[in-house]
Amino acid sequence: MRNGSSALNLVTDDLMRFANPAGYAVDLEALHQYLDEIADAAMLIDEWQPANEPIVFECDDEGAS
Amino acid sequence: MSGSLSLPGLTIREAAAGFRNGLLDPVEITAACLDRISNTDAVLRSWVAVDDAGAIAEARRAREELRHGIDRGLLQGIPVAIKDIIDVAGFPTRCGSRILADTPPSVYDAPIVSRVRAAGAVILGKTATQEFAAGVLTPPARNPWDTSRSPGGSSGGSAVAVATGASLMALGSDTGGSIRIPAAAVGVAGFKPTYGWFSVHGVHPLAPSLDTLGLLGRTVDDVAVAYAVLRGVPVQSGRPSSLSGVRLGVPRGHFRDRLQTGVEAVFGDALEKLRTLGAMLVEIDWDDAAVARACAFVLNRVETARSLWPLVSTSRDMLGKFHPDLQVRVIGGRLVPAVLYLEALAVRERIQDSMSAYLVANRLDAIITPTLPATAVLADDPVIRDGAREEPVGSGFTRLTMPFNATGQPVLSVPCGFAEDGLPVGLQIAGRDGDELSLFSIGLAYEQNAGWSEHVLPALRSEV
Repeated sequence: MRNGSSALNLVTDDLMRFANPAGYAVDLEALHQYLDEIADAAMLIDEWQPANEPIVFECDDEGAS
Repeated sequence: MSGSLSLPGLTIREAAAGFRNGLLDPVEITAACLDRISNTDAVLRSWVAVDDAGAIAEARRAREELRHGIDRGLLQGIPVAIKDIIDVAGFPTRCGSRILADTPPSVYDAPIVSRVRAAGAVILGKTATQEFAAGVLTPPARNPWDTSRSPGGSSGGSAVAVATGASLMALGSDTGGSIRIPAAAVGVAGFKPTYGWFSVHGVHPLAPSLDTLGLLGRTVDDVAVAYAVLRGVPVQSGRPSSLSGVRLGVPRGHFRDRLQTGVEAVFGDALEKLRTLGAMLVEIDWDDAAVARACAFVLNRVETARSLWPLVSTSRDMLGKFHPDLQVRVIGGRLVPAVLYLEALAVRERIQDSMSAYLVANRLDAIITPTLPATAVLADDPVIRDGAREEPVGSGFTRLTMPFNATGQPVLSVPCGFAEDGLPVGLQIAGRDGDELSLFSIGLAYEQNAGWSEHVLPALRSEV
């Protein structure tokens, strides 16, 4: 069994094989920030609870003038 | 110019009337626009190609047709600008990218351009875009209110063209806010129609499930007139109707968080103006705004990678020709899990349905928010600042616009004043799906009573 860090490197290599098959030079720090933003969006999407009924928003008529 | 009207304040309707009563001449107006481009573009850099001879020839044709009673409608003889991701026969479509620097001139017009030509409008040239419309800054274009600032993007060149009077109307595209953002940043009207209203054939794709062609003009009436002509629907009167009985939802939370102090104050004044015009303002919670933005963000990033990958997959050298940010977007987009993309599609669909139902159930005619949380950022240091707080411009400028790309509903950005830094602020009005007319009616009533569109750039005031 490989140790954690070398397995991680292999997974990373696998991911980059289909994302970047030609091995372009990419700014990895910028790529990390990019994926971090995607992960934040993913969390919001994953946590969103679809209702069986159409979503009901609050509507406060007290603010009406 | 033979008429008494000046170029910076000239509306499409005024120009069209002048062409027909002989006070104005399409050739003179076109020549004045070309002069304006020559005089300003060394600094503003908002045009990437201008066809002086072609434009003058089209203006002459319009003049001759009108003299012979061939009337093609209100856009006949009107100078227009086209964002450089849209195919125009005879012009290369370079999309602001080094990767397409040597692309040959397009042989065909995109369908939207065919409509512009059929309406007898005069195509002046192509305007600057951020590379492949993927961004909110449009380098190297500059903001005419303060040339140290960005005009916003990605349709920044089109926004500057109408703000300076170098064109009376412009085509742009909006995938995450790319019409509304520069419209707000340079103080013009920007309009994103309902998703799918205009064909995007002949337009370089960014994120096809979100890409929407739209219009920029100096006033709401300019974009309303152009929209009606290009869609083939009746042109409305242009006279504002009363806002009495109109119900406008004003969302709390997402759309009111982290606004620059000056933007918040101007937005508050705009709400007060709408109230005095008779509108009923209803405070609402749209709790799904953030997840709507998240869906649009994921769809945008994955589809961008899909759209641009064919350009780089043929040669190892090509990726390096993209701006570094776009290199990361292209590779990073290919790392987004497919299941997340599918989830984003599914959630987006539910949110679209619920937004339509919500507007109907609560009898809301539109939703009102600021277009941007901040005024235009520095071109060389593009960060949103408010006191000690800082926010990256990419996420900050799309925070309030992108939720409405997820829903696909029509949205207008209208100038609503100036912050304490002297820069314009935009009011975002999101309407009901397919109900552009109500949206224009609200925008027109606000604009004509608030009077912000009459503010002319300081550099052009001597001409008014």
